[in-house]
Amino acid sequence: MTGNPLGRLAGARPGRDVERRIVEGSLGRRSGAPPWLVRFGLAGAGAAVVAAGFVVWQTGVLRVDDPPGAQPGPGARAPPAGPSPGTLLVAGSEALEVPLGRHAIELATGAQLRVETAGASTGLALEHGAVACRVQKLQAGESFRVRTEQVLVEVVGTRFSVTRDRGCTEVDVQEGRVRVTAPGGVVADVEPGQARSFCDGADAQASPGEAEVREALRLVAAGAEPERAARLLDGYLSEHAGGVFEEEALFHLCLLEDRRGRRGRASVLAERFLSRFPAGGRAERLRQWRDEGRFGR
Amino acid sequence: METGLLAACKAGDEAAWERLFASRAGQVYRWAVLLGLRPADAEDAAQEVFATAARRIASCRSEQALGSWLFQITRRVVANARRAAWWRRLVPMEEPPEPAFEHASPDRAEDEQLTRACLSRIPPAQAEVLVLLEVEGFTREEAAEALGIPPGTVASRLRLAREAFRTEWERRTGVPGEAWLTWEGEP
Repeated sequence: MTGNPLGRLAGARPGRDVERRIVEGSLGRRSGAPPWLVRFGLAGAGAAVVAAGFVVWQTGVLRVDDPPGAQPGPGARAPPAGPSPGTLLVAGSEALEVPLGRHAIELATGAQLRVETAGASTGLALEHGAVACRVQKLQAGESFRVRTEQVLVEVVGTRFSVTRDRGCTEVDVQEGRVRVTAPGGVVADVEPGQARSFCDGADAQASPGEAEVREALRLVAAGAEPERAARLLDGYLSEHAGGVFEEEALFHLCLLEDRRGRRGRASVLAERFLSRFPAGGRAERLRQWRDEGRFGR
Repeated sequence: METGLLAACKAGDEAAWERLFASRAGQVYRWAVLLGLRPADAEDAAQEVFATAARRIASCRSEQALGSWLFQITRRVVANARRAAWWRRLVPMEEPPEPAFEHASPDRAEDEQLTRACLSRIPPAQAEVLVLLEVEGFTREEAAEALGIPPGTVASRLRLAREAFRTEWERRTGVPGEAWLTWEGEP
C-alpha cells in the first residue's frame, strides 16, 4: 500500500454504536442525570441505589461479555449482583455500602470510585477518598483489584482499605495480605495490621531482582531479544525463588519458551506455575493451553 | 460547521448540544485513539472531553476556533487517562490490539494498527503535531493555536515527528520512508 499512512486515517470513524454511546453519555453527563434513568428506565438495584442517597452515573461504556445485539436466551446467565462495568459510584454525606457479587465495599463520605470490571474479575478505580473492601476467598479464575493513580492493589480473600488523598495512596490491611504495585516498579506485600503509603515522586526501594524482571518484560513487550529476556527471567527464578516477581517471571518465561519452540521446557514451566499459583486468570489460560496440547513434550 | 451552533450551545439549547456532540464525536474519539488510548478508553475520554466542553463553553471564542479548543481539552483528558493507565504498560498484555475504526478492508485495519503502533513509539508532543497536520489537515497556524506553541515550533516538531515516524515504520515493515512522496518538503 502506497501513500502516507497517516493521511489514510483522515476522517476515520468508529462504528455508529460507539458514536451513539459517546453522544448519549455526554448528554447525560451534561444534564447531570444518569443517562440510563432518562433513556433506559430503572433496574431494581438501580432504584435502591438512588434511594440510598447517592448518585450513580453510567458512563455509557459497557464492557459486557455478550456480543452486541445478543438476546438473552433461556439459559442466559444472570447479571452479576452490583453495579455494572462503567458505573461511577459517589458517596454523598453518608458512607455507602455496595455489594459486588460475593464481595462488598464501603465508600467513605465523599469518596468517588468507578467500577471498571465486574463478575469473576472485579476491577475498581478509586478516584477520590477512601474505600474499605471485604473480599471473600477467591475461586479459580477470579480476581479483585483496586487501582489509583499511584498503585494497583491485588487481593486474595482479605479485608483492607485504600485511601487516596491528592498525590498519595495509603493501603491498610486488616486481614489477609495484599500485593501493591506502584509506577516506579516497587512491588510490596502489605501484611495484616500494616499500613503503607505510596506517593507520587517518593523515593522507592526496588525489590531484589526487580531490574532484571522489568528489563525482561520490556523486551517481551517489544518482541525483541527473546533469548536475553529468557536468560533474565531464568536468572531471577534461580536467584530469587519465592520473590515478589516470581509469578510474572514464571508465566512469561513459559510463554517465551513456547514461542522459541522449546515446548518441553514450556510444559515443565507451566506445571511449575500451576503448582505455585493455581488460582487466577493466568492459571486458567495455562490450563486451557495445556489441555489443548499446546505444550508438547 | 452549522452556523450559529456554538451560540445555541452557549444559550443552553439541548438540541444544539446533541448536534454538536454528534458532529464531533468521531473526531474527538479519533484524536484520543491516535494520541495513545485503547478504543474503550478513547470512548470514555471522548465523553469526558464533551463534559468538560459543556462546563467551559463560554471560553470558546468562535466557531472557527472550536476544533482547536476541543483538541486542547482532548489532549489534557488523554494525558490524564494515560497516567491513570500506567499499570497496563508495566505488565505486558497478551491480548491483540483491537481496531478502533471501521474499515473497508482488512488491509486498512492492519494499516491502522501499524500506524497507531508507530505513533505510540514517538514522543507525545511530536505525535500531536503529526495527528493535527497529517491526519486532520490543520494548518501550521491552527496547530499552533491548538497546542499553545509558536508556529515555528510546530514546524520543527513536525520535522522531527516525520523522521521518527518514518524510522519506526521502516523498522516494522522494511518499507523505505522515501516511498511517501507527500512527505517531501514543507506543507
